[in-house]
Amino acid sequence: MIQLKHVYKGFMKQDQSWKQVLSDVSVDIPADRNLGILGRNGAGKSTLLRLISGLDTPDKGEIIFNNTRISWPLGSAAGVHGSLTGKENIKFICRIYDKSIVNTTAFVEEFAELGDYLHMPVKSYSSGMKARLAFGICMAIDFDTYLVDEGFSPGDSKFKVKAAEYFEKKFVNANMIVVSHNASIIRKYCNFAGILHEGSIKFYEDVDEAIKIYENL
Amino acid sequence: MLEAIKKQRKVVRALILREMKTRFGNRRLGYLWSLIEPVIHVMFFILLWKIFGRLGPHRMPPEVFLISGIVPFFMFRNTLSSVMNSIKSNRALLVFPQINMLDFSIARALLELYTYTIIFIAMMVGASLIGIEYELNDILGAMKIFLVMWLLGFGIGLFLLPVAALFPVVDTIVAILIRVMYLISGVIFSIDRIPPKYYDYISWNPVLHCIQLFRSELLTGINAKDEFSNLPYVLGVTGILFLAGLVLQKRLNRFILTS
Repeated sequence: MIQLKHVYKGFMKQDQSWKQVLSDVSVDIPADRNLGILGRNGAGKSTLLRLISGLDTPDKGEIIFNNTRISWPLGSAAGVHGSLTGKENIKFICRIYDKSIVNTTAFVEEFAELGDYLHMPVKSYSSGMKARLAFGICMAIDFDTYLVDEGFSPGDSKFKVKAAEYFEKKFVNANMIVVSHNASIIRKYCNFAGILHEGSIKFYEDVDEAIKIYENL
Repeated sequence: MLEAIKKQRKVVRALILREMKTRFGNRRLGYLWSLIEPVIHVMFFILLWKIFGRLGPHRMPPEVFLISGIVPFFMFRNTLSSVMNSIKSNRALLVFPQINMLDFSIARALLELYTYTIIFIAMMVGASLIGIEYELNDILGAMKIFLVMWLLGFGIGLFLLPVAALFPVVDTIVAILIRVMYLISGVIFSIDRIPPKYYDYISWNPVLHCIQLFRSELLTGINAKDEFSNLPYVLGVTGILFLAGLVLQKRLNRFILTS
């Protein structure tokens, strides 16, 4: 379970005015539910995701993870280093997650279909290849909670089908937090929803109800 | 607790291996480059002394004097600046929850320590092979001072990391100060050349103390001047900066992450 306790977060916009994204947000995110967070562009969805993924810290309040293993935002290749090869990136991530390098490499090799590119620096990859690598590594490690950003799309349509297949298998044991302005993704995967609007999040047990309210905002 | 330390060691080890790859690239030549820099500096000053006559040190071969000054100084300098910049260049890795900011600093500092220990041994052996004679005094004692100097660089780096996040101009100031330190720490110019009446002005410099102590431990027949061999002073400065750095880092977390 992930707990947010009185979390505040804001930032300075480019025109030097302050934007408060979250104020006094408290919520428990249970381990057996898939949470979808809806929000218009600029509502602070990315900020929220950065907070949960640990890339940023709250101005006030705290986020408690209770030993939940959280993935990096799916589709983002943060943590993948450009001047290292795909294989070297896999090795690094295996070392910090205590995973077998041989097995993980074999899995990612098969899954991401990078061929010889696996032994070339990641900066020579296309954006699709990079996303496939990051996604493959993410699937190889057993996370408790997967973070999904709205922009997430791993490559071409053939790969998308494969990715969705693996992804659904994962959710026997794992859950996810999806952040999106697009209601259809959330309707498909989530059974718990929140609306991020004007600095606060409201949670709804009923996803359809949340979507209805969101669409009338 | 033990479990946590084990985990942390794994993370730091993974970071060091990654850092080696990203820093030196996959070319074996990469490592050679870090050896070439101090060698060139030593050769340059030897040449300078040959041209302008005896400006070198008493009681030891100039090569040994320079190696035992330049290599520890570079170790200190690189530890300082790589710790100071450790978060700037690794921020994306914070998506991995098991890695915290201090791990970056530890990993980078350790990598500098390993690298320059090897370089120092290689250069001393190299000097001996080309016929330069010196007599070692207390290797363990010298290692101890080398470590103290490393901790000093680490401590200053930890302290400057949050300060530089607040005031970016600190980066430039530090770059200049390090150049000045190179000249006033007895690294390339013997402290014997400075008249005693100026001692008060230079004895605040902990790097000077380290270099003096290092040479006197390393080589037989070399004694550090009492004014410049105050180990407790160096340790005190190191400890204070370490603590201040850790406290500031916690306090200024947000600035560091967004700077």
